[in-house]
Amino acid sequence: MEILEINNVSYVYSKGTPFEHLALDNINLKIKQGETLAIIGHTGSGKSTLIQHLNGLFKAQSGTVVFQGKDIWADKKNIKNIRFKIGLCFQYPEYQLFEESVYKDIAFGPKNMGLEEDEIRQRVQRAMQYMELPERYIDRSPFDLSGGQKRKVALAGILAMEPDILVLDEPTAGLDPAAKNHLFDLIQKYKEQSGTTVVFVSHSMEDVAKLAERIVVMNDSKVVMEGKPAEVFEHAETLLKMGLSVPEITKVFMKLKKKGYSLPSVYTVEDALQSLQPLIGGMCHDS
Amino acid sequence: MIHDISFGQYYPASSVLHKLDARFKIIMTLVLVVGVFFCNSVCSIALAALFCITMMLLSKIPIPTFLKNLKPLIPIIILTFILNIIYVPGEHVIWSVWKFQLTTEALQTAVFIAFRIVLLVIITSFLTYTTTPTALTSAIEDLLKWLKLFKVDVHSIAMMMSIALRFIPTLIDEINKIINAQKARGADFDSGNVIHKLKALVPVLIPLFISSFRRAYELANAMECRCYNGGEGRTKLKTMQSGLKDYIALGVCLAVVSGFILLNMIKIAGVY
Ligand SMILES: Nc1ncnc2c1ncn2[C@@H]1O[C@H](COP(=O)(O)OP(=O)(O)O)[C@@H](O)[C@H]1O
Ligand SMILES: [Mg+2]
Repeated sequence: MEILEINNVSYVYSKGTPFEHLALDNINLKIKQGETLAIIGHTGSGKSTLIQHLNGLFKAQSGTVVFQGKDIWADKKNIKNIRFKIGLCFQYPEYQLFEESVYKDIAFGPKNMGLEEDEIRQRVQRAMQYMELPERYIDRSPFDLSGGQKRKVALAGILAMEPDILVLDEPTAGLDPAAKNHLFDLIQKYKEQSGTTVVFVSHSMEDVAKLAERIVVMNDSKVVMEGKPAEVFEHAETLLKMGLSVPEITKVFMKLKKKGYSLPSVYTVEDALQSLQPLIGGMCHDS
Repeated sequence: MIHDISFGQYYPASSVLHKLDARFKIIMTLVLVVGVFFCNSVCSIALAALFCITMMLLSKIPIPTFLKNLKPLIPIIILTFILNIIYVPGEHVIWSVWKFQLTTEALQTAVFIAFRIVLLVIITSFLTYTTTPTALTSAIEDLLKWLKLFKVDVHSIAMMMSIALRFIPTLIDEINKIINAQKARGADFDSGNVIHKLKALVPVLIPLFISSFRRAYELANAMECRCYNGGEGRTKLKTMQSGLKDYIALGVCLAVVSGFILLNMIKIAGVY
């Protein structure tokens, strides 16, 4: 079942000036209920522009965005409610923190929804648990936290709205590998527990391979590929031409296959380990 | 809203006006702005309008781009027009109702002033549309060199100006991004009364200040890393050069302004 459909959406920045730039060129995309979808593409391919159409921050200059069978712009006054249902977390969300305490900042969204104080408190606590933020942070200033923790607070601010679709723009940009893995684990766990549909933008193939059930590849303002990770990574050469890559482990396996080894296509280290296990006996217990 | 700010924005094109020396363009703009205040007759305003239209065509910038600058000024133009009609004293009454009298003199002043405002906006936008902000600040620095005699640190002022100009588009982008990010959390900037609207700005202004300070520190560090220590001994990659065309252009401007003054003396049908 499709929860969100993007039909023939195009968008031009600075229309009618010499700075005119076609950022989205007739995009078609269907997002299924409950799936984890990754949007990949190199810088400037239009990913951020696209996802800002999903919750009506941008209005498509042509084409429609349909949420649960209804055009999100059908009722202009309702667009605010759409934004609560399609929670969008911007790139570097920690730069949007502004409140004096972690609690208040996370509560900003729920408060705008007009919820009761009790409900807000519960939601803030739940969101902090999802992001594994310790309870004692609740009254601290978000500006005293470390970069990674600020990011988690900002994300919790979106989770607290309990959206039907969670849209994340490069959620792990600028984090070190450990923090990155940790954040992806949290997102994965959140998704499993809440059943939310997750859409995330990334250009790290390792991340995409780990988390995504389906991948959409954007290049030059267009959707150029769509499919399961395995299907997309089959086209390694095309991806490389577009300035993208495939996971390192997939590259290694491709080289081995070229040398005549019969191996399956893999795209995560875990899968690789599993497919090698029979060959080397019990030698790889842990990685 | 914020996307529509075009005042003071460079419009890339390759025209005679784009190629003139920025220092001369500043002087010419000043000359013309002063000149417009001398336009006191139909003929001199017509000459100014003709001159502006010629310049627009020469600049190779689409005319609607100039008109866009006028749009925000329409209320001001209308207001001054009405005030002039009401308050300028005159003798030749054309039309009167109750205590109010419409006089030729008032009508004339009102129309002239409206035209002058339009001309001023168009003339100043020639400068900003055809000159890059960097060229503009170097030109100002150069024109104000003599202030160094009075121990004014012209270089630092020019550097601050160019940094400020450089960061305007960046900050506009940043504001838009923050506004959108807060809208994604349900912030409402459009409804409610004035107090509500001002309050709604807090979630935008705080992140904006924080990131501006961050940018300032980063830029200061980057400049220090490259041994920036003020204007002393600093040379320019592109030195400004003036040529014959700049002097000709300045000459034309002076001639046009003299034209304004001379044409003021011609009366058409009793009107100035
Ligand atoms: N506010 C804007 N005005 C003009 N052009 C923009 C603006 N924002 C983005 N662009 C341009 O649109 C293109 C797509 O940008 P974006 O959607 O941010 O790409 P991505 O997120 O994939 O890096 C880029 O080439 C960018 O330069
Ligand atoms: Mg982006």
